[in-house]
Amino acid sequence: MVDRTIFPQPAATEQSTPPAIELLDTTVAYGAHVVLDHLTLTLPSAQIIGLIGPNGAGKTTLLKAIVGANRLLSGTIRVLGQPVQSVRQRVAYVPQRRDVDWSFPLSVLDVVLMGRYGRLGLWRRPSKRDREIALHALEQVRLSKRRDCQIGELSGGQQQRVFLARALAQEADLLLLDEPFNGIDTTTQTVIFDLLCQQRSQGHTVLLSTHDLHSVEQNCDQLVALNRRIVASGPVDEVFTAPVLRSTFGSQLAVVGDSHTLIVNK
Amino acid sequence: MPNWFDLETYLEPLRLGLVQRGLLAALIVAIVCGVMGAFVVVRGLAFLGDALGHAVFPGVVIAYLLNLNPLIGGVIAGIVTTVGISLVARQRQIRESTAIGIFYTVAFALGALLLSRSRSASRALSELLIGNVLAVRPQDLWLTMIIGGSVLLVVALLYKELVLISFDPALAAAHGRNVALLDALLFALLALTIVVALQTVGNVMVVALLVVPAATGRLLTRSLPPLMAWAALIGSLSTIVGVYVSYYANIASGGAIVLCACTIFFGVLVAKEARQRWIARSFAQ
Repeated sequence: MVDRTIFPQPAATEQSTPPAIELLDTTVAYGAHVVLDHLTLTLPSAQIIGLIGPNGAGKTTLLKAIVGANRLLSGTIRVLGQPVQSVRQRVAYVPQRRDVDWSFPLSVLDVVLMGRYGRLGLWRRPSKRDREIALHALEQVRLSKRRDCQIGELSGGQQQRVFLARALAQEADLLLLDEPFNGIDTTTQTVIFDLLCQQRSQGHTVLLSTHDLHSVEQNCDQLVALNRRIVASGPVDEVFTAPVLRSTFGSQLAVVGDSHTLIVNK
Repeated sequence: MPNWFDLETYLEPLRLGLVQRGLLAALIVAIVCGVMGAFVVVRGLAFLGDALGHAVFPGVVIAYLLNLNPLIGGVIAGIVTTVGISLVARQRQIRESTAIGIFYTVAFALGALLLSRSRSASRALSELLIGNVLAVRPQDLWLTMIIGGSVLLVVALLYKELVLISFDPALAAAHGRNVALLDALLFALLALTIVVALQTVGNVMVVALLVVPAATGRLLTRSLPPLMAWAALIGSLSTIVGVYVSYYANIASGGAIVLCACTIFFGVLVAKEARQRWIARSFAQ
């Protein structure tokens, strides 16, 4: 244990803030196939944290385990200081865009309202207030005008913003985003990062998985390098180094010259 | 040939109790199939629908042999099959379509086996295969109302959850929903729908009544509640036409209903294609 007395005393409110996510010896397997192998990890709150790793590293599995959608073979996960089952409404999850069928007959507003379903429970329907919150979220992602469109009419970037609006409508303290920058335009990327920074300034935590190492280095405070195990975790400048990236990505990555020139072979 | 322009042509059959019952039962079936068909179409569950239509077979035969109402046997067989499919499909190496393929053929084989032991049950088989709207007994109508009404009630109460698990199961799980249980519930509702549809269209054509009106609705709207309404409306219209045609021409009602629904589908499809071409051309000019 670290001796607390040698550090400056944090303010009373900060002292009571638990880490956003704590994993202790967490193992997840699909059948006999171990995807996450004894992970131990603590992630601070009010930060934007990037989760990097090659395909098959277990990024999606880790995010799903944090929201309690995967059964753990061993270990525990605490979210906002508690088991996830008791803080579900405070955790918003944004799946990969390609995981859903965008030709589904739903309007943009219908999808954003789904962010409220966790609070509503099984039987209640969205109220007027839920609609107002959803409309405000759509305004934040600059899609108010398209609220009645069928979701398939949107561009990829707009679809990703609808998913983000849905997470914002949940009014969560922790946002988990799976590959939010896959196949989107730069405008959307800017809109998303602006909103994530806003979330951070409100004391909320963001954990996002991505292939885009360049934007991660520029926009994240912390990084987790994952390849079935935690390769490294900490502030960006400590993790974003050639040795760490090489052992995370292996043959999928070529580091040319210094760590600022990277070639990732997806 | 009846005079189709004479009102009496339409009123005369309605004075008969068996036509009243048949028409009422078939309309309930059309509405329930429209609502459940919307889920079948947006989730691509047509194969499951077809399989359940066959899987209820042993239940119907057993009920017939035990002198019970075949609907009750069908309901039990349908739900047992649904649960079996969900359990087997949990094994990752077996796709859901494979599990469906296994279960419905097993159930159908079991039905055929039971049937071969009893000659008298073959009449039950013919009604099961093609249905007969004019053979609906009062107790069948009551069961159709109760089962059909229950399906609609459950869909109304859990509408937003059924849409959520259909569109984004990962989000549903993150919200703490038991996705497997809700999926099983949706499949069980589908099994119930198929069982009540057996009497009017038979088990071979039930999937058509689920898929065709809902597919037509999909061409007409981009939102789920209107899609359900269109599907129910098109199914009902086809049913009314089908019942009159089968009454006067003395042909199988199921076939008449399904052919009518298909005619509407292709009519809408052609009209939509033509409209899109016309719009594209006016843009090009």
